[in-house]
Amino acid sequence: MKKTIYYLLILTLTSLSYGADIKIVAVKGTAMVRHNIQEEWKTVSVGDVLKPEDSIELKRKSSVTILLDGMKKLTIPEFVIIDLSDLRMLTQEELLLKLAMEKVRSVPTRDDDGKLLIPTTTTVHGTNKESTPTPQSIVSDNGLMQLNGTKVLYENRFYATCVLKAKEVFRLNPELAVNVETRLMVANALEKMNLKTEALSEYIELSSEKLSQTQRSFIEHRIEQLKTAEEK
Amino acid sequence: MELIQIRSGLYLKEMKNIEALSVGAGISFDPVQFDLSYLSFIDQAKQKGNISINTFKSASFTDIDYTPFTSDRISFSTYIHLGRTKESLARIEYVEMLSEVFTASYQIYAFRPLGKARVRNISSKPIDAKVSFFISELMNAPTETRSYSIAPDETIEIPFFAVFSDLITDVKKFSIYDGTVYVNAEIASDYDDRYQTRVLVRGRNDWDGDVMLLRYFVTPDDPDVIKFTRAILSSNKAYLDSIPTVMQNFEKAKVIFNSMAERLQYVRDPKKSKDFVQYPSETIALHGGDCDDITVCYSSLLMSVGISTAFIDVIPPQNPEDSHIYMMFDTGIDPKEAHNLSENSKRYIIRKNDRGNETVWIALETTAITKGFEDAWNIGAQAYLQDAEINLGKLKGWMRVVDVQSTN
Repeated sequence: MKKTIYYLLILTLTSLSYGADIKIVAVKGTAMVRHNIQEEWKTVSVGDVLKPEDSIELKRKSSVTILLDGMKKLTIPEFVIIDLSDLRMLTQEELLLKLAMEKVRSVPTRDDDGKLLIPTTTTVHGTNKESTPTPQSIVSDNGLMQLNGTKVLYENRFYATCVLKAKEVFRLNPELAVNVETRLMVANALEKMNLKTEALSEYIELSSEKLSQTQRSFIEHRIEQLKTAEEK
Repeated sequence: MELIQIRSGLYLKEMKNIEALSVGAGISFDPVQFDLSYLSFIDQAKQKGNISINTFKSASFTDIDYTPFTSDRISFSTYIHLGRTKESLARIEYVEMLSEVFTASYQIYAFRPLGKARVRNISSKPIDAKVSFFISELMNAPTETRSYSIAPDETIEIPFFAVFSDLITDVKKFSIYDGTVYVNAEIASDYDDRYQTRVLVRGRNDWDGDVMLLRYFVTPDDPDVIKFTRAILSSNKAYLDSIPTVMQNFEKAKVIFNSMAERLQYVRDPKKSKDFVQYPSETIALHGGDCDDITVCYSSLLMSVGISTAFIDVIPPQNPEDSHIYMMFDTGIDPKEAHNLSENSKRYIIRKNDRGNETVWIALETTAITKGFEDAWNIGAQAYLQDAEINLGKLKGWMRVVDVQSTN
């Protein structure tokens, strides 16, 4: 019964918080919007109506309050980028499927066995560009702001999209993947979604990172508790 | 011709003296058999003309062919087998064809059942039965299933397969062929029963609408495709040489798309039919095609230069008749270098390539061919964002991404 009510609540919230427009009700400082797949950011003002496919960016010392589906108010703090499509609840099943899809392809991988592949393809030979320097990876503001966005998602109980977005940010910005606080948040969000096995994996992975004493004892405690829960 | 037999023999009297020799040969063409034999007596000279009637009367013999009074002879005989004498152990009750044969993807019928035969054990003991299927015009030999154990009087359904020869690619249009299904319950014996069935074979350009099978039209090794891409890359060599390695695949894909746009025309399919697909060489020769043709052609062109591709198949649940196919390709760019392409991560997709590494992929709407690469990318990225991320089409099962691997 409890579970049924939980799913009904999630479904209701999903339908309430999604599929409708998002209205800007208050702006402090500089808030920008990037529509759909466009590259450029534009300033937003009170009264603007945004779509789920848009993204919002808050500069330093800025914040914006939005109204989701005319019902739920949400304030986005400074130095954050958030995709508005992430302001929705996904079910536990949907999250699991999303996580699985990241790992599985639609066809089996070729068993190359690490052998050299000799292409049977057209090749144009030219200058060797291997020596072309690639830009050094640096922690970009963009990455940091997106990471801050995952915290906003977590604080507003959008746990599933918080997990998915954090993983995407880590893939695009591997240097941010060492951020223990965010990874702890991801593990905790998985726990909130009642995905104990997945949460346990996160904590175990985290335990091999460079941790403070407090972090280490917390993680070990969580691992122990989750293992005990699994055994039961 | 089935069998040649050679025989010889000796005739002995009281197991001591050799009285006659025989040699013979037989040849059979089922159901006819011919035999030729020669019988020669060792002591025949004493018998010719010297036998009295009394001697004949007193002689006792039981075989009219071989008596002391028989002379040397050559005999020729013919047998015609008018009926099968083999006792059948199994019977085919009916055959159900599970699908038509689509020529373009004929290889799949070696692994996917083409039909099933309902076989009954009509003997009084358990049997191990195999079913085989044969179309004489399109197969080199019958394709046999594994052995199935069937108890007395039991009936089971046995799925059968078909390994077609290359001859099937010559089937240009929808045709009907006679197929024969055999059941065989004994090793190395003639079949126990056979069943004639009609098989519908589609022409080489026919497609059943399944995106998984669309990849059989992708022919990166086709000389026309290789010639096409070689010409494009050669004419853009100076430009491509100036591009950093990390962006090579992306720029090659862009150059090929734009060159394709100059030479090919998108033709809207008025019937929105999904049943006819051109091979890339045909699209190149005809200077155009519809959505599926252009997608297949571009995918082939990219794969011919070593760029992986995938089809995106969308069947909107509210309007299934608006189903649509577009595609994505692998830029080979590491996700951490994705900013080289765009600051907006909604413009690309991070997914694993065929080596299991995560790379950045670009979705393209190939029907926007006349608008050029940038617009095709914009439309493709928007469509993917809506279908996969906003409306969760992949999660809900009405959107599929199918990696294209060469089947040639």
